[in-house]
Amino acid sequence: MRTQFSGLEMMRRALFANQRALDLVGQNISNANTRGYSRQDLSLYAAPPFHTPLGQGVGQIGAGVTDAGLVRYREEFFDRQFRQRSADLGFAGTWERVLTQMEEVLGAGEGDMAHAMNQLWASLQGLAVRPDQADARQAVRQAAEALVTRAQSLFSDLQRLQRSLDDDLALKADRINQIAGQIAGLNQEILRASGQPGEAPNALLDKRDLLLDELARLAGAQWQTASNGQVIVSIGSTVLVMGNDVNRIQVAKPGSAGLSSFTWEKGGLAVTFPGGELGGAQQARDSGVPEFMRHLQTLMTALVTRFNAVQAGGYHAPGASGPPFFAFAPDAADPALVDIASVRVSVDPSQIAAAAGAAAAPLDGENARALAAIFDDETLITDPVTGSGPVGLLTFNRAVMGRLGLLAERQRTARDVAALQQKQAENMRQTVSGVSLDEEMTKMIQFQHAYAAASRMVTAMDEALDMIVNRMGLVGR
Amino acid sequence: MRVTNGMLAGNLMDSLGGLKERLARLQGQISSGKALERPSDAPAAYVDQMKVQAALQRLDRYGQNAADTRAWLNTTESALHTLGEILQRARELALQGANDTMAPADRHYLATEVDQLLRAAVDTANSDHNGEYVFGGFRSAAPPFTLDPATRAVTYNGDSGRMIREVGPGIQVQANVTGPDLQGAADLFAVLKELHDQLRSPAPAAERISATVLPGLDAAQGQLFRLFADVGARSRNLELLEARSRDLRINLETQMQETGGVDLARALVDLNTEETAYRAALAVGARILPQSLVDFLR
Repeated sequence: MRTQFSGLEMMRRALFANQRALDLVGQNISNANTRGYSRQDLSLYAAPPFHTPLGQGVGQIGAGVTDAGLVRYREEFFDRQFRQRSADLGFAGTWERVLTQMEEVLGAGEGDMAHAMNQLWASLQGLAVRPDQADARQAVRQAAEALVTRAQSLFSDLQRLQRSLDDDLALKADRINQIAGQIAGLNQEILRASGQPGEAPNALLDKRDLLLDELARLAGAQWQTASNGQVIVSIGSTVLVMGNDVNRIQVAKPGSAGLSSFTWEKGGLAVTFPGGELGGAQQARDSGVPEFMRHLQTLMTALVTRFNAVQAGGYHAPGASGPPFFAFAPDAADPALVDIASVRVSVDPSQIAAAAGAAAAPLDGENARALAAIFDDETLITDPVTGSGPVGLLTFNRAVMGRLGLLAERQRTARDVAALQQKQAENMRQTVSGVSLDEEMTKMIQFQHAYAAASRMVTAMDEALDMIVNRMGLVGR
Repeated sequence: MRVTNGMLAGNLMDSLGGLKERLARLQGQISSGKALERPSDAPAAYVDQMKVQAALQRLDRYGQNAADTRAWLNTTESALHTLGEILQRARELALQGANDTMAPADRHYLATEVDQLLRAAVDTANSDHNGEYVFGGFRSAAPPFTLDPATRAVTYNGDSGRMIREVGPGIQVQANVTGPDLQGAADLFAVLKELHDQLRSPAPAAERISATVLPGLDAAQGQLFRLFADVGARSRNLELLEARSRDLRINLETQMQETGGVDLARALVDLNTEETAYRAALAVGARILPQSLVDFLR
């Protein structure tokens, strides 16, 4: 049977519910600008009705409002989209940065290889015209030294770029380990919180989602949500976090030279980042920058070997053929190429073989002309950058710059597209999870009025009860 | 679609960011004057630019080579001209000497003059350009022709080196005339020596002069003339080449400007457009962002 006080109980529920709703509105507004915050709502529903006993009226009267807990507005699909595009942006962004830096290093103008090669060509032409002048010889040696210095400086700049990528990789790998540890910890806490009824670990979920965002951007990580609310994170095909377990990335730095290697703690396999900033950095470090280092080596190898050959075929004094123009050592990793740091101009100016005839007559500059012609020999380099067929030194250099420009342009476009797509994905996320101040204000008014109305009802019921308690049965008193 | 305040703010920031990036790019172009700062700005045009730059760099050297060659050829030309005059005078003397009526004593006088002509010819053949002998091939240190005063035989001490100069892309010019070229099939020194000897020798010198010396002189003069024409042609070609080089330089520099330089008028118009868009974005953002329901609730 329905008691008088059940009305009050119903109003009490109403007051609490609206109070709680207002608290939640306050929570949403406070976190309107918090990164990664998903807005929350109270899930209110009408409490199960009493069954009216026979004789007291027909139908069921509700028992007020009750809440089923908090609702967290989050759409996993949008999260997936956002993270995928974050990974793409991280990847393309890193590549674009590296390529732009390489452009600056190798760029044309006074400092580039083409200019140095043309200077050497000009000095050799000068020698061909005046082989008997010491000035002309000195000029050749200086131009050759300038060329070697330029090549060495470019090469070491590229090496430095590679090492800075390496440092970046090591630093970010550490960050990944850190994030993985935090996610594992959060997994535990969320599991514990979810087990208790009424507990909604929304803040923890938000925090975990933020970390997953960062992980996607860094390494293109994938994740799955298990049935118990835990996430399993993997990078490529290797599991990074499962429940409370973390599979760390181990970084091995081999001394001052050389590059770091990354292996998984469990299993010892090498780490390959499938995407994200680390994916881009790893590819740039291992194949992007080395490609252009190799091109430089190819150029210099062809130049120094041919120079020495033509030098050996000429004469600087009667009967004395030219000693080697350049001294160099082969690259330890690839003996077919020269080690650029080891190249130096070893010939003395007086021993530059300008003459083609064995008599080495004073005005015989034909061999100097042959040395100059090296720069126009289009059969010199058999392994061109693009297309097929041999190319000359200057053509090769241009092809390298063209390729670099094309790659950079491509990555810049990819990055811009990825940025746009990431923005769109973020907007979709915000549509679901973002806080709209206007909306919260409106809700606030709603709950405020409902609260006020409920309070009035309490007063009304109080007056009714007061009538029963204090005024009934007082006949004649 | 549900739109939150965060989205509005984020969109504004993105738009402004994009506009500022474009503004910065235009600013860089206008202040540097270069449209192509990096290969990635326009890869194909950048590579073309590199070719033009290389060609310009080489023009300087080609110009120097051409000037040097022309100087050599000038010295050579005037030496050949002088030799031509010498041979012409020798011819006059030979014609006089071929006259039967001349007394041996008179022929001796002629011989003396021919002797002088021979010495003059050798001196001329030893012409030099800034201390280097033009007819010696590659051997430029010592005079290429030596005259034995007793036998009046001329020996050549130079070699047959041809000085090839590159005066343009793929364009080569020979700068010199070697001793063997000069002496050729009809050796002018030998002819002069022969003339001298015949003039000093007893009769019948006249017939012998007519029979051998005069034809020899003809041949030598003809050869000299052909050499002179050849050197003249080379000189003329070089002049044309130098004129073309000047035009080429202007063309290349114009090309550089066109592919790599910024069109200032267009850039300034673009700047204006972008600036207007930027201001509009700022104005719209400033108008929309601050508004919310809070302003209207008491």
